Amino acid sequence: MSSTDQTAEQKINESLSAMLDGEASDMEVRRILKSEDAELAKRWQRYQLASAAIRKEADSGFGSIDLSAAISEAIDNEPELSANTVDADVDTVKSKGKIVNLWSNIGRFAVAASVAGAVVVGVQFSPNDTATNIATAPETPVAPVSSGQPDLGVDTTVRVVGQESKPAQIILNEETKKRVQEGLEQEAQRLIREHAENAAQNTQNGVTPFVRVPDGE
Amino acid sequence: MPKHLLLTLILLFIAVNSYGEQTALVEKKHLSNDSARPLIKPVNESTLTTQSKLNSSIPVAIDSLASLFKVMAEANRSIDFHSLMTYEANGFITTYRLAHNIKDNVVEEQLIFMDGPRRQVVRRQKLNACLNGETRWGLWPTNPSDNTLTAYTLKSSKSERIADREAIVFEILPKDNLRYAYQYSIDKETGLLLRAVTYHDSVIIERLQTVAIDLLYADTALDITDEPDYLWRVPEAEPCHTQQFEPAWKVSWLPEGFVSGGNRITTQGEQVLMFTDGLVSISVFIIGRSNNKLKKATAQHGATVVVISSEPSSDKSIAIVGEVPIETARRIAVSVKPI
Repeated sequence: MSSTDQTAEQKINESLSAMLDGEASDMEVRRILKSEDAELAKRWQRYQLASAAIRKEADSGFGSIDLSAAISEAIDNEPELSANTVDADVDTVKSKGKIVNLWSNIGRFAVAASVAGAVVVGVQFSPNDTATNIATAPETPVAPVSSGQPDLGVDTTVRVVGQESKPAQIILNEETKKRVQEGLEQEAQRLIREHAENAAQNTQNGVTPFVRVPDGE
Repeated sequence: MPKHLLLTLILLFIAVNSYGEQTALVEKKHLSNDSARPLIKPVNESTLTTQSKLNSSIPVAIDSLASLFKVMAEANRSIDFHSLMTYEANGFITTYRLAHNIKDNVVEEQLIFMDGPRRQVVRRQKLNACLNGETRWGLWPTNPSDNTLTAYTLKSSKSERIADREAIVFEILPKDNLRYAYQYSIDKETGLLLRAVTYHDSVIIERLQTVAIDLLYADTALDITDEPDYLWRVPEAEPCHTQQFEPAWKVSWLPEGFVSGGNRITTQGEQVLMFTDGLVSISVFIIGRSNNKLKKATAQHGATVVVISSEPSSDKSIAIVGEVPIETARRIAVSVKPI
């Protein structure tokens, strides 16, 4: 490995660790999320596996479901947000405290939100739809966006915070998060099951393909 | 009755009964089993001591992946066994009981999930081979063609004791970084797979390990659950016909060494294109999006990855499922296009 590679790797490591601590600049977050770097993707994946194991999410049979693309897609479909895309220098996840909690609990959603629009400072699953817990509390009045979007569900509140170059927030409540995750888990489980039958016929691994199917509950 | 006449009659019977197929006549192996503990039936000491030791090790030399798989296939179609296994993935261990029996030229496998929700997999497969030699890979009278195994190199490293049995350990290393590396440990005497470890960049991502195996009292089936909710009966594979339709989609990029394993349609009406490099398998699903909400996602369970993405020029979603790194699956996903 050349020294240039080492420097680049070190940089990415620093960005990644900053992101996990909720201290990454928007630039860093973007570098990580948009990176085509396979090594980085792997590391992020490993982190997710580890944190999923800690949270015992694997009860569902999956150690890791990355919803970032799904959330990103949902946000892309939000006309209000898309219209309010702001510059890259938005103060994304700088403050500590609550945001750190966000990363540890719902990191994937936060990641997605950051990827999607550059307008998002944080994502929270709030059972009562209040924004009071968000660390970067809005300084300007909150302009609620109607949430009639089928992608995010009626129980989701999307708020654009501030105007023009000001950051925005998205609040997905617990139910929406659960619905999205469960839907995808079910779908993934169904696909793995179908795949197991293919794999049993096309490889020489005995019952291994069936052992690999998660229990799906 | 003269021997050749009997044989002719048998062959005639086969010819009448299976058009286009050739029955692989299977002779069960008799094995010594001085170390295995019965899992199902109680131990009978007198039987144990009178059992003769016939085979001491696998008869063929294993010097290539194809010969390794040949030994494993031979074991799977000739040996009855019951075993207990653990499967370790994503930081969790689950336990399985497996019964593998051959009767009347049919292999029956029963896999019982010992943890979590009650589940049982039953797979019955008649041991038929196609006359043209293109029998599907996973069917036990298999015809592994060497060109599907070119992406890996095989190294035999050492002997090890696994499940109280003598095992030979093989390293299966990919020639590129588009797939995983494996360590397969097979039973020295029978050729049965005792342990399979999957590595991604030297990190273990999955481990399937036999903890106990019973070869002596194994020629009985386990009880099959009568509750259909828990039972997954795997449809019997047709060894000679793998194409169910002419695909309207093509996969433009696959890692070198992957070949088509046929295609089929799921119960939900989706097209599935199947590919294999001889060791692992990739399924490409073309999914209608009409009733889907948030479709894009990546999921991983052990070595198996699921990548769901949308195909921009149509209203379909593409799902790649296979035992390959996520980056490989993503690259395949974006290469799927309508013809």
